[in-house]
Amino acid sequence: MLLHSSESVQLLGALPQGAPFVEAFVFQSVGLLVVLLSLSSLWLLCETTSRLLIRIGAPRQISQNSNEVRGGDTRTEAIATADEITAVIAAAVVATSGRGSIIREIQPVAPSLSNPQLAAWTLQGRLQHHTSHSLR
Amino acid sequence: MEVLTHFFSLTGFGLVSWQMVLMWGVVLVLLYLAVFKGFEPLLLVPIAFGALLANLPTKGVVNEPAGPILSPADGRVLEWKVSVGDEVSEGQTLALLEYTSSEGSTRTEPLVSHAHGEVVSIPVSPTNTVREGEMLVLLYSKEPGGLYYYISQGIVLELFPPIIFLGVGALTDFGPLIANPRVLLLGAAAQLGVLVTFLCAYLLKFSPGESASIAIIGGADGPTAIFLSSKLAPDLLPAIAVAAYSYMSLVPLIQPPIMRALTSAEERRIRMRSLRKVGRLEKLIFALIVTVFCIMLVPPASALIAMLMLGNFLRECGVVDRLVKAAQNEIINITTIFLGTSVGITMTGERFLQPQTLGIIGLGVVAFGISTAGGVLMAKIMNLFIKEKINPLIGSAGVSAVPMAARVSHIEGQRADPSNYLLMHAMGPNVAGVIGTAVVAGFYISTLGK
Repeated sequence: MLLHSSESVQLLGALPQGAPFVEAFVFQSVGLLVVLLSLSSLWLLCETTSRLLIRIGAPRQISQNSNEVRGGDTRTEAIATADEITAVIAAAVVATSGRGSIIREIQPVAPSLSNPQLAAWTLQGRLQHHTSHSLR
Repeated sequence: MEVLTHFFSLTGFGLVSWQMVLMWGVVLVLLYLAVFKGFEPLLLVPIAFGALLANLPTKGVVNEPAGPILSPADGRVLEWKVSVGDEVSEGQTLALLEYTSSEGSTRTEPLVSHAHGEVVSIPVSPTNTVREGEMLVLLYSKEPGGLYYYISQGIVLELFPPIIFLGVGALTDFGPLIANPRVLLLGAAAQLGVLVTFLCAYLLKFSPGESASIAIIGGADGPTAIFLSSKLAPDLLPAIAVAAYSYMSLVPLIQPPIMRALTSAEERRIRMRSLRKVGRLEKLIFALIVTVFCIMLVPPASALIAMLMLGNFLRECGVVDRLVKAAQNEIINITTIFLGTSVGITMTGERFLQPQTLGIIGLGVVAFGISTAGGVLMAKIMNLFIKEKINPLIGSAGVSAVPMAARVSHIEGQRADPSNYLLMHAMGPNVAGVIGTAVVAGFYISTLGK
């Protein structure tokens, strides 16, 4: 039988005004349990859905608005010279931070270049990090 | 001279009170923090400006229209001071009412008119008992209400927070959460601060509804805090909103010391495997699952959950670009202006300059601190049982302040290991915190709401 919302209130044990602290503590413990159980259930539902989709081989379409970067996009052919890459990086730095920046050193992001998927995440992380508003 | 005196009586200078002057100081502080220090300016600027309006004699901006005057509680009419046909002005006493509290004590209070107008009906006779919400007097006037009387109905009727959530959903990528759903537990653990702060507030003699509204500050989710307090503790709404948004902007100051205190250098250097890609279908199914599951679990939070996931579904389905852009920009921006100013409008000196405001601000820090600790400690506990370790720094992102809390985790991780990128990993618990806070709010409304 479906419970009306007012009945479910009684089930959860509403806290009356002026109730003793112990009662408030029990009430809060129930609250914490509800949150933990609900998000754990969501975890299980997510895991189940993912496994199911992987098993049936659902096509992985990347949504138009997704923040993800396709791994393949980051694979660049080694056709640019070091000077050209430096010029491109310098232009990007000026475009992002304005004039007055001095590039002292350019280093590849070490662990990710060999792994295109990792590189995609790294780039995305950097992008979000640098384009969000500045931290104090 | 007489003309001058008459003119002065028509101006607002004579209506200025000490509370108003003090509130101008509060407004200046808020504007300074927002404009020059960059503390959540999108919300604090409209809130501060609304507070300025609330503390000026602004007829035509905030005044209520004439209409029915309702009984604020169960009680009894002792005496009427007006009769049908009388012209009454704003603030005039209409009747004396006697209320009985839940403990059985009685108190006598005047029934005050909220507007100018003519009394056209008094349906209750003296000595009659009245119920909360029952109409006591009907006023009529040709004057409409002020601009912000109507706009702030968006808070009174609980419209703005869900609309903000529509935009938040359209801006949020749940991919990192779906790719690593176990971090949902971090979002749940970060609600510990909410629950502990409830108990602290309760010990300080706040009512259960007020305690819940104060405690939700720890969820670091402004719209949810406003949604909950407008339902359970409308009188505390201004202080709670200001505390919630101020502390959200202080996340980079509040969280790092707690994160460092609770983790070892080795733990902070833990590297997490890069997340898998999440397909569109999976994201769409996730939006539907969260909608159905959370609404079934906590129906009172359905407005928040439904709008959040609607916004996200629009974003991920990829066929309603125009709607997504509207939700991400125009809708959320317009609503933010109205929400902020409507909250500010409630910050009158009489309401805000109360000792309990200091209590709320103090409890807000407790809530944030414990929520941060809860997330970090949960990550450490999970590490005892799982093979692929979680960097405990991402636990602190379980408070919802999106994406500020995730960026703090990332920066703290980089302090320990400059080549460790935790940002996308931290986005998982960050968006889980949004869902967790909405569930907590739903729990409170279910159990404490009328």
